[in-house]
Amino acid sequence: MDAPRTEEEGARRAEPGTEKGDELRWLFRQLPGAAWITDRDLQVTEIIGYVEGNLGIPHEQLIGRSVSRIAETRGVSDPATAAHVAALGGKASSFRYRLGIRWYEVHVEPLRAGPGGDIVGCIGAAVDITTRVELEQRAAASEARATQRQQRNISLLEATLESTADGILVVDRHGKVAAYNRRFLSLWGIEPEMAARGDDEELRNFVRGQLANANGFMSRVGELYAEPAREVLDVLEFKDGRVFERYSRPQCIESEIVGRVWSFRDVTERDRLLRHAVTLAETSRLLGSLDAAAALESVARLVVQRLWLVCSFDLLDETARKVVVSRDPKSELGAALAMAPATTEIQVRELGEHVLLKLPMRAADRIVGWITVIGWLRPAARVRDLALLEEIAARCAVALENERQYRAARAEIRAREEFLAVASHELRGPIAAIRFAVEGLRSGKSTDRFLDIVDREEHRMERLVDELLDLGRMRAGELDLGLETVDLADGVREVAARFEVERVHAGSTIELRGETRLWGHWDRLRLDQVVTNLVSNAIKFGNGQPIVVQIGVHDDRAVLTITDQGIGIPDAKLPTIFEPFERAVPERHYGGLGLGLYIVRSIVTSLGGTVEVHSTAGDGTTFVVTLPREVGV
Amino acid sequence: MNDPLLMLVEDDEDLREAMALVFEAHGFRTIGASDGLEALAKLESNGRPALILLDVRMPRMNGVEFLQLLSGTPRATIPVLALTGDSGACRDAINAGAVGCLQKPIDPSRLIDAIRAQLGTAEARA
Repeated sequence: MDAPRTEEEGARRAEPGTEKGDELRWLFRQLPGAAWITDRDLQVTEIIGYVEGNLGIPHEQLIGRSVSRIAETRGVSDPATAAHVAALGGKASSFRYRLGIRWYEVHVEPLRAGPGGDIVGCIGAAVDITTRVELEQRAAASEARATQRQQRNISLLEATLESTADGILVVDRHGKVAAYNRRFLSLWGIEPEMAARGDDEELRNFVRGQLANANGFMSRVGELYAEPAREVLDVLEFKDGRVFERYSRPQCIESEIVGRVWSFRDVTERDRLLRHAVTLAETSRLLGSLDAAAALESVARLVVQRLWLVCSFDLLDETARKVVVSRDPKSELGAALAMAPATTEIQVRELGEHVLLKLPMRAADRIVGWITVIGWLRPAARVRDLALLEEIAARCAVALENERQYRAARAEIRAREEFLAVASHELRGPIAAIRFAVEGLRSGKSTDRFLDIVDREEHRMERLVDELLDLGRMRAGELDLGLETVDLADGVREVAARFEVERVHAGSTIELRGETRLWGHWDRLRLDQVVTNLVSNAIKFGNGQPIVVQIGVHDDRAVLTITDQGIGIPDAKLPTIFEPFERAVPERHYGGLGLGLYIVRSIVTSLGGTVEVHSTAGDGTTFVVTLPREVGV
Repeated sequence: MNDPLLMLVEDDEDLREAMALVFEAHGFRTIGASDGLEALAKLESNGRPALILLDVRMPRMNGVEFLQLLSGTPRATIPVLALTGDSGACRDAINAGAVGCLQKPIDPSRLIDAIRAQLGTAEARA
């Protein structure tokens, strides 16, 4: 406003005094604002517009009043005086001015007059901007609130990200790392520098080496990048035994997919407890079957499916069964099974990135076999793995032992039934013979022969009944011994003589060797029974070949050895020939109750001695009886 | 010499002897064998008995095995009466071709009646 507009200035001065000026003043009073003129003393000379209400001073009193006096009533910081003083100095200025509840935009500039444009006073104008100011204030407050909210959200997000137990990784649609938390780095063992480089592919290659199934992991990642909208929950298994749950879902803004969020949770402990519990429960269920062999194969499959890569069972019984199951049938890991010998100890062998664990399975302090597993080397989990394996081994051992006892019980029942059938057959023989003899005697013919038959058969029946009674006593452990000084050699000669008829009939010879006198303190009748049974067997099963009976002394114990060259005893039968109701040959082919060897062992044991058998099927049998010469010595 | 010939296959010697003596007293001739194997051999060389009395439980070759082998020979038509102590063996013998089975212990007069009846049937058939 350096060049004054003369016409306007003229108008400003002229208007208030005229009629038109009154109209204008009235008009101005309707407008939200005011305009005024001061002289060089800053005394108001003219004022129009709605002012009085806000200043609290009537219009008439404003005229002639100094601006500074008006301002003084409003406080020292009032900018009005300074702005008017500045205008007198030629400087226009604007400021915001508050009157009561209203705001004004105030503009003050110099009032020039005359040809030289001398500053004769000030001209001021105020426009009510209350509405605008309020809007501005409201906007500013709203913005402040928004900023605060945003800051709070960011801090909340960061705190959430960092306080969760899950490792979180956010990548954009191009696989570039967008965000992650510290837990993510620690879960995967990633150095912060590598993470900071933000190359998703580098990260992927770094983590894949830790996984048990790296290829599956990579192909899964590939699939998910190909299908950005997919949401997936799966499980990652580490070579060191850790297990992560991996959850992945797209990151969206509105409906647009902008990336993918991966979260990883270490569920190793939960997974281990669950697997162990389920495996043990399943193992027990599978072992409930009495077919332990089939059950073991199922257990091996279960173990391989849930816990280890290879599982094998080696059984220490007559079947020597072996079960081997591998998770990957093409894997050559199974070959390592041969490395671990069968010992009574727990074995742990590290095989590169794998480990082999081998445990004996014990039932009642007896080893019934071994369980061997091969899995990933994970030293941290070893104690727990071994504990679980021991539990599985124990349950398998119990099942095997139950099966063995069940089989043994079944076999014993079968043997007893067979024994009863044999016993009744043997008892019916003499009864039938005697009946026929009695029938024959009635006819009055061949009386002597019939009487001989009755006599022999009566003795035979007596022997059978005695044998049955002995069985009862021996089973009950109630064998009474009448000890006296007995000559074993003499006893053997007596028995040999008694069997003369049978021996000749069988075509064998009996050769007595060694001592011709051997005294001891024994039960004469029981000793006779021992020799009788062994000699009788040698004749019965001797195949007509020579029989040798040797009498000797060793360490002051009498040693009686009876050797035949007959049919021998199959290896499988050897362990049970001294059991009652057991017979080494098909039961129907040879007469007698088949209790002979049981009676021999019972008597020899009662006399403090031992009896051993050595036999080769087809080549003959040797029984060796040793007896202390004094019972109790 | 027209007395019918019976073969006694029985491992119990006393019983075999007693039976033979009783049968002879009742007008039969007898030929004995101590097991199936000996019986097959004697059938080859000692003529054709009218009836075979067969113990089922015997050493070396039992009665059932004997019946199975007999069925493939010209002597298969000779009637066989099985004698045994248990009903299971009786069933086995009948299944293997025995015409009848008597359970031990056998009453001698009942056995003789059974033999006569069997021989009568055989004669009638002849």
